[in-house]
Amino acid sequence: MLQINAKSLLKLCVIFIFLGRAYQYLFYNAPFRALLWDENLLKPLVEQMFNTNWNAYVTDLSIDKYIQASIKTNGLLYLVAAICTAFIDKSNARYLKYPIMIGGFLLALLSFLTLKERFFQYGQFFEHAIQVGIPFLLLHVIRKDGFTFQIKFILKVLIGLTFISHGLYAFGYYPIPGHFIDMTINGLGVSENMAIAILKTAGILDFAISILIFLPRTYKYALWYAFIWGILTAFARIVAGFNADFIFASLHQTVYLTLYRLPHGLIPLLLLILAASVKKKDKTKPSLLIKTQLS
Amino acid sequence: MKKRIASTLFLLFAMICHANNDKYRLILSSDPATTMTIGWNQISGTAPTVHYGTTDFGTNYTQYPMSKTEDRAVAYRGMDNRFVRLTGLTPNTNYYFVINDSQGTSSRFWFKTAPNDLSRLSFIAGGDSRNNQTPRRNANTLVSKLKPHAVFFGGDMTDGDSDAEWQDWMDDWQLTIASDGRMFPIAATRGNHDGASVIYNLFDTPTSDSYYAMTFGNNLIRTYTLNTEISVSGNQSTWVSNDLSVQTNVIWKMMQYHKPMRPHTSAKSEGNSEYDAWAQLFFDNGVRLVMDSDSHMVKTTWPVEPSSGIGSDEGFVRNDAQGTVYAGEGSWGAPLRANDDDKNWTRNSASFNQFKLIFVEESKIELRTIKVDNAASVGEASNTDPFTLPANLDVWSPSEGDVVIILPIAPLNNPEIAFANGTSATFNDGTNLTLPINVLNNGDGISSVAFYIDDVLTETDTTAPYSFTHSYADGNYCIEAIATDVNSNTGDAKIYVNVGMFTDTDSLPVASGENDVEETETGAVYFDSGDLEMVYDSYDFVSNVPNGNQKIGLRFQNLNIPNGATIESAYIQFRSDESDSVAAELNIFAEDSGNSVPFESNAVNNLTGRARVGENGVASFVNWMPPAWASSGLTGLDQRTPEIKTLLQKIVDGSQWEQGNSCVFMIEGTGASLTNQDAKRVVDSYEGSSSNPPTLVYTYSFNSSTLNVGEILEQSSNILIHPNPFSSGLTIKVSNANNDLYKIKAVRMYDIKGILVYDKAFVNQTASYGISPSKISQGVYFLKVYGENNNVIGTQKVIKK
Repeated sequence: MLQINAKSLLKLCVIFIFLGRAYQYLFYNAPFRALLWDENLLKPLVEQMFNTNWNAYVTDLSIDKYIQASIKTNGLLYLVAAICTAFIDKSNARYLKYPIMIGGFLLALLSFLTLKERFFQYGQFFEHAIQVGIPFLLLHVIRKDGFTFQIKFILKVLIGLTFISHGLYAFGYYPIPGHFIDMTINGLGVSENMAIAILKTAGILDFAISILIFLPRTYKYALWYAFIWGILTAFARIVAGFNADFIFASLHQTVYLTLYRLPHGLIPLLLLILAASVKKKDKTKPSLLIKTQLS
Repeated sequence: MKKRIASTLFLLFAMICHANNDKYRLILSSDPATTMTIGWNQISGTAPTVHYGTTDFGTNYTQYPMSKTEDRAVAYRGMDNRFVRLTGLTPNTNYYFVINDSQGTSSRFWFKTAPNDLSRLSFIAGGDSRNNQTPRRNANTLVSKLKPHAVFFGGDMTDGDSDAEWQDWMDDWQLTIASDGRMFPIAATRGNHDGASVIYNLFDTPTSDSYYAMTFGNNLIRTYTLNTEISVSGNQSTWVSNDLSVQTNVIWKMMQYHKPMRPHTSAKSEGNSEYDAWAQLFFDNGVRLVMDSDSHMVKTTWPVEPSSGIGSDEGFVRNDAQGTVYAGEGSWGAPLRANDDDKNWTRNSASFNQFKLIFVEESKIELRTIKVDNAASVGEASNTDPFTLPANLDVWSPSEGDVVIILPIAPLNNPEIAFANGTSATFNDGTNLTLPINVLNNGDGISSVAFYIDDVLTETDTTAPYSFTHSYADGNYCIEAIATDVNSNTGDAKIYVNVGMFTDTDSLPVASGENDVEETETGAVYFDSGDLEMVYDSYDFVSNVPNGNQKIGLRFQNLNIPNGATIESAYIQFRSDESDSVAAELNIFAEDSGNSVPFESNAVNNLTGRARVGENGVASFVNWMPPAWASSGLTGLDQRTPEIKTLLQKIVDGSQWEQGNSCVFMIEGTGASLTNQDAKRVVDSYEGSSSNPPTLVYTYSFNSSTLNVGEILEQSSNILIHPNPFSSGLTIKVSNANNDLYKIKAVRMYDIKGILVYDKAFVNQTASYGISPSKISQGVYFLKVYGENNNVIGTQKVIKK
């Protein structure tokens, strides 16, 4: 019972990621053009393979439609992966694991393309560590029917990578993105200078959390912080982007951003639940405990 | 073999004779009529110097009358970028230049400064030149043929912001140089494919955040370059809001930035941050044209204003008379996206590589979309007439016409009102004061007058005659009345009301970059410095002439100090911009003016030429010997001037002073600061830190029973006194007795020191009033006559024999 419920939370996280990305791809955009429009990289290939010049290739709107269609197709794949995630268990994993694996690889591709689009700032790549990693971990958990020590450790590594990467932007190692600052200004009603100070502090805490989650004495507190901060930063997208005059439009543009970031908070919660279950195992019935935790 | 030797010798000769530099660009970031920045890549060689003048001496650098070495050098994107900032240029004038270094002399280039009058201007505006070199080169070639006064480039020059891509881009930019060597300046914007520092380092923008503004012509158009890749709602919006609000004399205002608020391609997210921060601000401040990029397609809109009401689409509604035209969206030389997200206010959209050709004159702005693909076959405009379109220029001609014309906002028949009491009024007792409104122009029919006390709406009067009755505690209040007519046109009036005895403190920062200036030793006034050196400044605002021991001018606006106030304390708070420890000595002066006018950039000695407060012809000053400043960013007591209340008191005591007026303080070096260049203190200017500019902090006390000299001396034609001089009694007649406002309620008499010596109230009101101030001694007195609403009917000097 304990592990089924923990597994459900992991499933929920994977569903959130696939649904959020599916929404993004179906209604907005994905950085496919970061690769397909790279003149330096693809021009020789395109001109030789398609016997056309580069200008004709990148100004042909029918090709642009194909690119957009491929993005939407990818969005549909994410949707299928989300549905498969909802229904996968040990009995049907043999079939349902493939859409999830494909979804995971497509998430990894997305991370690479985002990395390329953001001037190869590696923080951008590893910020997606949780999002890319947990679909594969879910498959592993289903196959093993449980959360092994290695799985928990990997989850911590994914949390650490995500938080360190986030911290690199918040702290200002990479230029602080303008939307980070605007989110803080609009969400908290502070000045820009104060917003930057808050972000720098959050960045330092991100670094600290990434270490403290591995220390026996501190990991619980660190995970609680990661849970709260992860949820807050996910919902910050909705709060900062909310506009009373354009409620639907603003939600249309922000809910998916929140969806695929929710695991940044929920994965630390999952580890807390697993930690609590281990600790209480000797003293009480674990199923009751976890039921309480999850209810 | 002989050929090889000859080739080698030729190459060596070329290397010796030619400066080893390339990737030239002209950059605009300040006054386009008098400044120009020349940038290039220094491959090798040393001591590069720009030699320039208004006569073409070809590559003979020794003949050019002026020269300037680099102001900035920065190694960035695989290039050794050098920048020379030319200042003090003559407007509307050809300047020829070469770059000479230890290895030789560059080709001869030239440029033309922008006019400083209302002459017509030509701009090219576009953006996004990544990943499609062919149209990029075509667009660049067209720049050289269309010969604009400036090119506004909306960002995303390259795809990956890499060294190689930028070097290619700069090489392609050389195609913008005309065949006769004429170059055209760029105002560069940062896009999402541009790294955080690249625009600053390659185009020498005024700040590292790369948002800035400049005014062309005689206030013909002010162009703003904003940065959508940093916070749009923080300091940047504060800056642009402040700047827009003070640029009331500018005829046109135009914006450029990268990410559109409402992209016209469906795959792009809405720019809600930009919309929330800027859309209403632009509309309210008369910004009529916005250039955006990012989407790689083509759009023009009808003039629009922000609205979520009926008929709106994505937050805008069409407003042909007053709205903002948004034009874009990128595709200077880029892969194309579909134009599949039109709004009901979209004028036309399409997908092709293009830029906008914009002609600006006093009576209109014309905007055309130019297709770039046929650049090779396009003719060339003349250097003196960039407005006649060259042969074969491919102007887009969509369904709504090929030229977008923006006309000035027609003057509105706004209501005009004024407080009957004038602009400042003093009362001993604040109980039930009534402030009547005089309607000077009824507009289209005033429907209401709203009254605000210190910006808080307190009452709305919908029935003429309009007035506002309220009880006030002792203190100082700003009352604003806003009249609205049936067509929602508005007009307003303000009055300062001072009641009883009170003390007040205000903190007043300089409001814009035009209000903190440096005057060089030669008398030129520089507006745009990011810091204020007190005293010595090696920067040469005028080419090749260091500012030297400069003087600082600070103009503070809207001082809420009533006539007759006693200044209890005053000082100016600065923020240090660097650490300085050598003992400095400064003198602070104040302008002798009841209302200091703005600084002027084109007038010599516009700061030091101003009269100074003083006594017996000797200027008064406060000496300041600031202690050492340990670092930049300090805003403590050490960065504060000594008491300058005596100077401020003299300003307020002046006969022309009125509450809400402006004043100017001047800071000059003295003693060691005139002989030792390090004996200085450097503070942030408004441009350096809009959140910590120089700030005047003052405290004053006020007693309504003591009139100030200036107020007493104000004579009035509303009352007639007889006899004057008088011995025991006198009669007061009111010139407009039928008006309720002129029925006398009280008469008070003050001696020459402003002390109340006689006070008489009237109950039965007639056209003539007699008083007998018999107990006062012989001398000069001031009689003040109050109306039914405590309004001051008039003041008259009287003499008792």
